[in-house]
Amino acid sequence: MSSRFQKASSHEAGAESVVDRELDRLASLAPNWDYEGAKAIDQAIIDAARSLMAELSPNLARLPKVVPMAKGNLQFEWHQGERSLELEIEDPETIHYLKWHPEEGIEEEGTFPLSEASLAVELIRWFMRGVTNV
Amino acid sequence: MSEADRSGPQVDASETLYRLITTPDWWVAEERRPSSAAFDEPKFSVNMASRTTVEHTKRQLREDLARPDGGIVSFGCGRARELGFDARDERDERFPHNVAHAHVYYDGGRNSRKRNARRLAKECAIVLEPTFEG
Repeated sequence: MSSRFQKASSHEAGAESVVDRELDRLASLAPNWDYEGAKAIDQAIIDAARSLMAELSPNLARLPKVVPMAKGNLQFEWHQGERSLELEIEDPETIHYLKWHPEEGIEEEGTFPLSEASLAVELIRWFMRGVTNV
Repeated sequence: MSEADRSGPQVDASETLYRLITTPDWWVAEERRPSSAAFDEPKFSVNMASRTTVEHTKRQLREDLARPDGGIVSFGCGRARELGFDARDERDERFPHNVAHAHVYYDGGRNSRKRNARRLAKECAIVLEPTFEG
């Protein structure tokens, strides 16, 4: 466990634990887990996801869904009605995100380096602002 | 994927396509819709509704894929093509007896694939709601 999490509150540490278990589950998926020939989830992607979560944990007021993708990578998803946020670990160095709320005219997509976790924090804050305003 | 990767003719735009939801990871239960991850692939499988029945597709879930708790969603071939998803009349090597099978290839650019997968997920109709536990 990273020193960052050792300093975190019990809620945050709990969040880390839940997401960690989900990442363990994805890491154990055998090839063809979707019954359509999906690849096993790349260990380098799992490691990158854990690294990102270590950065994001203090901002995780709502846990993401951890979703495997057939290409062997994964994404974190948050949903609230029409509002969605997806952070896909496209490769071990790159996040491909979708910021989605069509009712507000927001259908934004882009990429940024995984090392710039502050951009992911901003996206999560955007999502949470909308949730608390609902 | 390039044109050379595709062996089959284009599916008619008027066709309805069935996408099987074979894993709970690709079902957003609280929103009663598929995750965009079910469509965020370079190539995925569908059934052409005009060559099968809902009952036959349910049997496919139960018997071929051993996913009796899986689901079926539908979308229009023409609308999908507008979003960059090109359906081709091609058999599945693992289940060549399924003459309703088609492959869907994503033609759009990297910078729009998540938006288009999300749009397609949003436009799907539920044919058979999954009954995944948990």
